Amino acid sequence: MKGKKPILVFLCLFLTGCWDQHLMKNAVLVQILSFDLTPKEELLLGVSIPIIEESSGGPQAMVKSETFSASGHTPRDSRLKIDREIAGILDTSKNKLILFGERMAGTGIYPSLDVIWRDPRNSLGATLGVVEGEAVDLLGIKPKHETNVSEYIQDALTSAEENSVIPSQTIQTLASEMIDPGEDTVLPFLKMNKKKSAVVVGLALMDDNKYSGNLPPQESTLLLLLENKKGKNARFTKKVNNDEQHVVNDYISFNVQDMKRKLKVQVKDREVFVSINLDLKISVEEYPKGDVPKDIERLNKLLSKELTEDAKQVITKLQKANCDAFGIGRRLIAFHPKTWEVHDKDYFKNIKFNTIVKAEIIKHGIVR
Amino acid sequence: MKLTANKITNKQLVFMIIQAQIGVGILSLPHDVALIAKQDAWISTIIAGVFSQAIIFVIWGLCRRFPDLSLYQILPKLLGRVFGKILILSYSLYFMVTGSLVLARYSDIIDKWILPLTPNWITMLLMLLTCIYIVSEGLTSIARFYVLVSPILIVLVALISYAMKDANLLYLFPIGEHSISTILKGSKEAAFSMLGFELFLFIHPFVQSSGKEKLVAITTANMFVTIFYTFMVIASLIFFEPNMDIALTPEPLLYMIKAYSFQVLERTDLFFLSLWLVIVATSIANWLLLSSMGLASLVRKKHYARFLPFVAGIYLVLALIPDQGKDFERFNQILGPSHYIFIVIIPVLLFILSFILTKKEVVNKA
Repeated sequence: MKGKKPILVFLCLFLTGCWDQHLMKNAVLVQILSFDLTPKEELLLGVSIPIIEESSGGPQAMVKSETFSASGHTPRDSRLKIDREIAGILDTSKNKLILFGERMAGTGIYPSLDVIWRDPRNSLGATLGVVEGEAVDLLGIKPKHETNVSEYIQDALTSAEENSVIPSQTIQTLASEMIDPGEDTVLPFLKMNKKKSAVVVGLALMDDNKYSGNLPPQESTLLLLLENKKGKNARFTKKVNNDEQHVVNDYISFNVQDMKRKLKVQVKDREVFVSINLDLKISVEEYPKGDVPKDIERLNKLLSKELTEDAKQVITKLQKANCDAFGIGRRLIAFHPKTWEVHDKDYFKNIKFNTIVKAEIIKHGIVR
Repeated sequence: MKLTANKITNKQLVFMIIQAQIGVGILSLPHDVALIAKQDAWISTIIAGVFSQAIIFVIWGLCRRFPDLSLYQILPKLLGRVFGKILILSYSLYFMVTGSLVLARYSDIIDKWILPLTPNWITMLLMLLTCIYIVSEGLTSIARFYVLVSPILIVLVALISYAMKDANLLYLFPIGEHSISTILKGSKEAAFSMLGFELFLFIHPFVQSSGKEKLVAITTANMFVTIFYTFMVIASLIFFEPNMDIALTPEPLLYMIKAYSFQVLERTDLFFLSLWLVIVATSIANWLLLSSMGLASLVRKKHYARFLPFVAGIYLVLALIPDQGKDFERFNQILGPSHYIFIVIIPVLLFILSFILTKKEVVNKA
C-alpha cells in the first residue's frame, strides 16, 4: 500500500478531466434542422429548439418550441450566426429531423449533410425529409394537440412509416445509398396544409441526391411493396363496382397481410430487363356492398389488374424522375459489371420493366 | 531469467496471442484494406491470415530448437555476443517504435472521437500507467488479465452484428474483380494489423506444454484473429458502399454503430470505444513487456520491471511526435520495412542458421 498511495492521489487528480465537459445548463438542444435556399442562393438554416414552460398549477410542464433561422454560405456558417443570437450553446447532438426545402433539395442534399457526418457529436439517427416550398415555414407551425413541433412531425412520420407510406431510414442507413452510383434514395415528402399543420404527402424521389419528382401516398405505399420494404400496414382503397345509388358501395379497402416479392435483372445484348413479381395476400377491411366470398374470384382478378396498372405507373414516374429506388444499378455492378461499365447517367430510364402484381384475398374480417 | 512463479498454461497462451494480435488496428483495418482491394478486401484479410500462419510455423520451428530460451537469449547464442547484443538492442528499439505508434494512434482516435479538448499526453499517460501496472507483475498475472478481458471481443462482435440489419450483401459482388496483385497489396495492409504473434518468440519458455501443444495454441489464436478480422471487414463492406463510402470513413466499425441508439444507450460508439480501450491496453502492454525485456537482457538483469518507467517515458516522447495523419503515414513508411526485417527475415535467417550451425539447445532432463 505504501508505494501505491501517490498513485492513488495522482489518479484522483487526473482521472477526472474537465476539458471536454459539456454542461447541460449551457446547451440549447436543437430538435429540427431545416435547409433552404434563399433567393440570393445562400443557405438558410432553420433550427427548432424546445422551450420548457413552467406549468401554472398543473403537474405537467409544457414543452413548446421556438424557431430561429439565419442564412450563410454553409450549414456551419449559418449556425454560428444563430449561435450569436441564442443565449447558450447550440447542441445538435440530439437532433432528430433534418428537413430540406424543395429548391434546396433540387440542388442536391449531399454537401450540406457533410457536417453531420464529420462531427462525432452529431446524431446519425436523424430522419431526413423534403418539404414542399420552404422547409423553415414548417418549423413555425403551431399544432393544436401537440405543442412541440419536433414531436409532432416525428409522430406524423412514425405513423406514416407504420402505414408504409415512407420507408424507415435514418441518415446513416441512407449514407451508402446516397454515395452508391447504382442506387437512389426516396425521402418522406411533407407539406404544410391550410390549417397550419404538417402532412406527409408521400415520397420525394431523388436523382443522384437531387429532388426530381414525387409520389402521392397510395403510390408510395405500392413502391415500398415493390421495394420489399413493407411497414406494419399497407392499406389501399380501390374502386371495384358501379353502384348508382350509394357511391360508398363502389369501393373496397384492404390491408396487405403478407407479401412476397421476386426481382430479377437480366441483360440481353446490352438491354437491361427487370421483372418484378409481387404476390400480395390481402385482408379486406371495408366492403360496404357486402359478401366478400361471393365476389372473391372477381375481386382477386380485378385488384390484381388494378394494382399491376398502378405499379406500372409508379415505375413510369420513377423513370421520369430517373430515380433508381430499387438499386438496379447496384445489381448490375454486382452481377453484370461489363454492362455497368458502359452505362450512362440516365441508365434507369432505358430499363425495360415487366411488373406483375397478384392480389389474393385471404381474410375478410368477422362478417361475410 | 526463469522464475518458477512465471508460468503460463497453454490455454492462457492462446488468449495472450489473441490479445497481442488484436489491437489498435481493428478500427481502421477495414478502411485500410478496402481502400486498396475494394469489395475483395475480405479475401485480402484471409490471405494475410494465411501469411501470418506461415511465419508462425517458422517462429515455432525456431523456438522448437531452443525450447528453454527466449529470442533475446537465442540471439547471442547463435550470433555471438557483440552482434547478438546489437540485435537485442535493435529489437528493443523496434518494439518501442511500434508500441509508441500504437499509443499515438490510440490517442489520435480518442482525440477525434471522444475528447477533442483534453490534452493528448494525459490520455497517453493514463494508458501507460495502466499498462505498466499490468506488466509489472510478471507473466502469470498478465496472462490471467488477458483471459479475463477476452470476452470483450464477443461483445464487440455482438454490437457489430446488430448493425448488420441495415447491410446490403450486394456490395460484396462482383467477387474477385480485382487482380491478384491488388488483393495481395491489400493483404499487406491487413498483415500489419495481425502483428503480435512474435510475442511467442519471447514467452514460449514459460509455457508449460509440449512443443506440439504450443503450435496448436498459437495456430488457434491466429485462426481466431483471422476469422474475427474477416468478419469485421465483411461487416464494414456490406454496411458501407465499398468504393467510395468506406474511403470516407477512417474508422468504419465505429461509424457503423454510431447510428444506433438503444433504450438506455445513446452514442453506442462511445460504449464501443470504452471496450476497445481495454483491447488496445493489452497490445500496448505487450510492446512494453517486450521492449523492457529486451533492455533487461541487454544488461543481464533478471527483472524487467525496473525498466518499465524508463521505457514508458520513451513511449510517451515518441508518441507525442506524430501530430497529424501525414505524420502517421511517414511513421508507417519507416516502420513497414522494419516489420519485415524483424518479424520475417531475422527469424527465418535464424531458423536456417540454427540448422547450419547445428546448435541445438541441450535439454537437461533431470
